[in-house]
Amino acid sequence: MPRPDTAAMLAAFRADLDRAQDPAALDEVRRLHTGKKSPLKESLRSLRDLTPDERPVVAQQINEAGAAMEQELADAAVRIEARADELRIEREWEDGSLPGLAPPRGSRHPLSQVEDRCTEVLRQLGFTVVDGPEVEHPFYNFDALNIPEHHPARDMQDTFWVDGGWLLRSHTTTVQARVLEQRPTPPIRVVSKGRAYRNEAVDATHTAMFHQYEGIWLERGLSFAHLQGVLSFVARSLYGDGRIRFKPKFYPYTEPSVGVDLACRKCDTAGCDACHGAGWVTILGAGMIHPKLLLAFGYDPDEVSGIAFGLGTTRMAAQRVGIARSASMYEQDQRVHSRMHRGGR
Amino acid sequence: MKVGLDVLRRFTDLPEEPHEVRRWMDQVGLEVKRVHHEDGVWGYTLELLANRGDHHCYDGIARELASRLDRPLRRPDVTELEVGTSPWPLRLETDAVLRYSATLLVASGALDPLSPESLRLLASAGMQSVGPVVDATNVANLELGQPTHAFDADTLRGPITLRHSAPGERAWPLFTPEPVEIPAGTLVVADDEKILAIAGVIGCEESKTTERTRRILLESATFDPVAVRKASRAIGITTDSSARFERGADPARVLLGAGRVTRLLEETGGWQRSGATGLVGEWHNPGRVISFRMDAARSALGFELEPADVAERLGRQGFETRVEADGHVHASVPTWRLWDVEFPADVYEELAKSIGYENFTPSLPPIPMGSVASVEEVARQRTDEVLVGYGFYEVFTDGFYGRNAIDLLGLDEAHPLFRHVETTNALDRAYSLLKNNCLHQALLTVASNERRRVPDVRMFEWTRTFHPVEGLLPDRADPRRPPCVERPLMWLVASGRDRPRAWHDTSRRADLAWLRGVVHELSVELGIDLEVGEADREHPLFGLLHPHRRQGIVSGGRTVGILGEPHPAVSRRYKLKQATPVYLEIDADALLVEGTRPEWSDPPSVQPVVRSLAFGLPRGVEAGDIAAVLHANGPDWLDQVLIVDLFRLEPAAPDEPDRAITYELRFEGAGADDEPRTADEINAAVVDMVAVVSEQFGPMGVRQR
Repeated sequence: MPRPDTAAMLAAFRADLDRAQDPAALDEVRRLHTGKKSPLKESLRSLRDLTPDERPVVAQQINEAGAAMEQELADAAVRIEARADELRIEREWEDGSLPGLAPPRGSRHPLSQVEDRCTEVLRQLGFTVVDGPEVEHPFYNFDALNIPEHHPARDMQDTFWVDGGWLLRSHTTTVQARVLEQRPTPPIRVVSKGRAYRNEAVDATHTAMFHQYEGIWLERGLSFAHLQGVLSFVARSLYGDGRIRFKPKFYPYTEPSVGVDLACRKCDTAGCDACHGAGWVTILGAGMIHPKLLLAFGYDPDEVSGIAFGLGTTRMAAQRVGIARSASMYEQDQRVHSRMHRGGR
Repeated sequence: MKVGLDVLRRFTDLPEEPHEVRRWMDQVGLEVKRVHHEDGVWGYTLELLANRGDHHCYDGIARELASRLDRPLRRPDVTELEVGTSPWPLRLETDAVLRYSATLLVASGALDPLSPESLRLLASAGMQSVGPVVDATNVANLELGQPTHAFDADTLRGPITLRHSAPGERAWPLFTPEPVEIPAGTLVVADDEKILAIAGVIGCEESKTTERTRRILLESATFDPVAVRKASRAIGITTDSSARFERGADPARVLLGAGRVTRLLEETGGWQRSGATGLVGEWHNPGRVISFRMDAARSALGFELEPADVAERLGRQGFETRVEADGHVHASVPTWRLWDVEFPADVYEELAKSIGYENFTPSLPPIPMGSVASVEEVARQRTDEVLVGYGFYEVFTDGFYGRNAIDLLGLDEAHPLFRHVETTNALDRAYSLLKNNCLHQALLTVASNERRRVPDVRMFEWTRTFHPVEGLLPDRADPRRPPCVERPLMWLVASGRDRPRAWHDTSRRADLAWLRGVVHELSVELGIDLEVGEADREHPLFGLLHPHRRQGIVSGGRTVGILGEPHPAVSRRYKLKQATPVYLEIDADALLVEGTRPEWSDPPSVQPVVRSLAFGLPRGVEAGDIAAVLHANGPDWLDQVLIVDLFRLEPAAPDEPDRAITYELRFEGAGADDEPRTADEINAAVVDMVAVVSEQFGPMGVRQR
C-alpha cells in the first residue's frame, strides 16, 4: 500500500487557495481539501491499511498537512475578507458634495429665544412669569400707572382703542398693575411678556405690534443702588461684560427712572451707523416704582419699595439676528425665517 | 430739540470738548440723539424727558448742566415791566388761565431785524427768521421757555377776553386755509368780534402781525396744561407752545418772558412800550415743600448722604432746603418744577442725578432661591420642540386684520366668525378688526409665499383670538367687563414638502395624514390624550375646511381643536394656485397642561409573530375602524395592529372596494411561561378576528383579499 502523498495534497490545496478570491471560493477550497470527501480525510481513513510502524509517521504527516491547511485557510479568510472589504469600499464610493437629505428642522422665533433667555436669567432672582389680557381697560394701561387722562405721557403711547372704550394694551405693564391690584404680600417678583400695540405709522423699524418684557420686584428696603444692581446683573447676564451706563429717564410709573445703555459693540461708543451715531444702544428702561402707584394699590411707600424694569425684546431679537429692519421679523415670509435661523444655508 | 453749543455757552460755562459736554448731557437726562458739526459749529439733537417742560429752552438745559457741574448760570437781559392798568382791557372768564399779561408796544422808527446773536440762536434750533416781532417771541421762548404771542393791536376790537368757546364758534388758526369750527369749551383768547388765538396753541390769521404792523399787543401767559392739551387735540394742531404748556409752564416766568421779548424789540431801536403791562390771573406760588427724613433718603438711594450735602445739591437745582436737627429735611420746590416734583421720591431723583447715576455702587438685594419653570412653560417648550423637529418656524402675526378677511373667508352675517371686536381709531385699514380666527392669516401666509415662489411652508404661532361678548353693552366704567373673550391657541400651517426639491427626492408632502402624525407626536411628547376624529360641526372653522379633509381634535372628551385643508372655495378666494395647505389649531389650554409619562413595560423577550391581512374597503368605510375591530377582537397577546399598505383600486360599481388595505398583526411570540405560540393557536385567533370583521363590515362591502 503506498503512503498518502501529503506534499501533493498541499500543493494541490495551495494551487486552489491561490485562485480563491472570495469567501464562496474559499468555502469551496475548504470543502475540497479538508471536507469529508477530501483526499486528506480519505488518507486518514487509509491509515488502517498501513503497517503499525508506518501508521504513526504517516498520521503525523497527515495531521501536519491538515493543520497547515487550516492555518492557511484562516489566513486566506482574513486576507479575502480584507480584500472583499476593500472592494466593497471601492464600490460604495459616494459623491460627498451632494446636499444632505434629512428634512431640515425649523426654529423657534428669535423673540421667543430672547424671552426664554431673559426668563432664565430672572428665574435666578426668583421671578415667575404672569400673563394678562391684551384687550385692556384704560385703567390698567394708564390711570393705574400714573398716566391720567390728558397727561402728555399718553402721547408716548399712541393707542389702539376698541369697542366699548377699551384698548389694546400699549405695554405689558398692565399685567403688573393687575398683579398689584390683588395686593399680594411682598416680596413680589413677577415678569410679564408678550405683545403690545402702538397705533403708529408702520415702517422698517416700527410695527403696530411689538413685544415687551417687564418685571417688578416689590419688597421692603429696596433702594436705587439695588435697582442698579439688579439691572447690572440682568444686563451682564444677557450681554456679557460689555460696558453699560445708567442715565436719567422719565417713565410715569417710576421715580427715579433709569435708562440702561450698552456700549455699541460696533464702535465702542465712538458713534457709528449701527447706533445712529449715539455710541450707545438703550437696552433697558427701569426705575423705582412710583409712590403714587404703591399708594394706589394700597401699599405704604414708607414700608415697601419696588423695582420695575422693561426690556424691548423686539429690538433685542433684531440685534441678536443682526437684522436692521426689525419689521421683517413679524412677516410670514418663509425665506426670512429660514435665514434668521440658518443664514443663507 | 436742536441746540447749538456756542449758544449754550452763553448761558453757562461748559467743558471745551463737545463730546465731553454731550457726556454730561446724557448724565443729567438730556439725552443726546445726535451730535452735529456743521460749518465749524457744534450742536446736539436732544430727546427731552416728557415730564420736564422746563428743559424746553436754553435756560433750562443750561440750568441742568450748571447744577451738575456746579457752574454759574447766566440769563439774558430782560426789561423790567411795570405792572399796572393795561391800555388794553383784559377780561378773565375762566380759571384755566393761571396768569395772563398783555404789553402794548408801538413802532417808533425803522423796523430792523434782531441782533446777529439772536438770529444765530434761532438758526441753532433750526428756525428761520420771519421778521423781528415773531423772531423776538421765538427767541425768548428758546431762551427762557416762556411762549409769548404778538397780536396786531390795530386788528383788535374791544377787550381781550379769556374764555371757553361757544358751540358752533369758528376760528382761523394760522397756516390753515380757512376758518374752522372749533369744539365748544376750547380755551380761547378773543376780542369782541373774533377768536384771536387758541390759547397756548396757536394764534389766528385775522390778528397776526405783518410787516405793516405798527402796534403789537404782546401776550405772555401760563395756561392750565390739560386745557391746552384738550385744545391742541381738538383742533389737531401741536406747536412748540402747546408742547411747552402741556408739560406745565412756570407761572413766575410770565413777566420774564414778556420782558425778554420787549428787550429784544427795544434793542432793535424800532419799538417802545406804551403804558403799563396788564396782568390778570389768580395764581400765587403755593410754596410747595417736600419733607422727608435723611435716613429715608439714604435708604431709598442706597447712598450715604449728609444733611449739608443734601442742602447744597438741592440748592443747585433751585430748591431752598432747611434741615432740622432731628434729620427732617424740608425742600421748597422752585416754581419751574411745580408740575413734576410732588413726592420725596422726586427729590431723591434730583439727588441721584446730582450725585451722578454712574457714581452709585450697584448692589443686589438679598437673593432668594430661584424659581422653576411652570407647567405651562415646560409644555410649551416641548410642543415647540416637536414642531421645530418637523421643520416648523415660529412666527408672530398681527393681532388684527382688515375687513377684507370677512370677504376672503366668505362669512355671511349668520356665521359665528362674522362679528369681530373692532378698533375705533386705527391709522391703517389693515388693523380694523381684532382677529377672531387664525385661518385667515395662515392662508395669507401660504398665498404670499406662493407668490414669492416659495411652495414649502411650515409655520406655527402661539397667539390669541378675540371674540365679542354677546349682549354686552359698552361699559367704560367696569374693568371687570371686557368687550371680548380672549382665546389663547396654537395654530400651524404646512404646505408643500418637508424639504426643498433635491437630487434624490424622498421628501414628503404635507397632508392631512401627515398632520395627524404631528398631532400624535404632540400627544406622545406632552403625555396628553389628543385623539383625532370626526370634526365638530359646531367648530367655527368647520364650514371653511374641506368636507372630506377635516377632522377634530378631542382631549378628555372635549373638542379642543380642528385640522384640515381649506375648502376649495376658500382656497380659490385666497388665490392659492398649486398650494394645498393643511391647517391645524388647538386650544392652548389643552396643550399647556401637565401630562403623564407612559407606564414602562419590558419589550418581549422573544420575537413577535407577524401575520398580514388584506381587506378591500369601499368608499366610506375607514381603515381605522377595521383596525380597531381587529384589535378589540384579538387575543390578549395581540400586541399591535398596523396599517402597512394602501393600494388604490378601480371599482366597477360605487359599492365595490376602492382601496385594498393591508393590516399587519403583531402577536407576542410566547406566553407568560415563555412557551412559543403554536401556528395553530395563532391561525385560530386570526380566523376569529377575520370572522368578526366580515360579520360587521361585510354588509358594507368589505371583503377579505
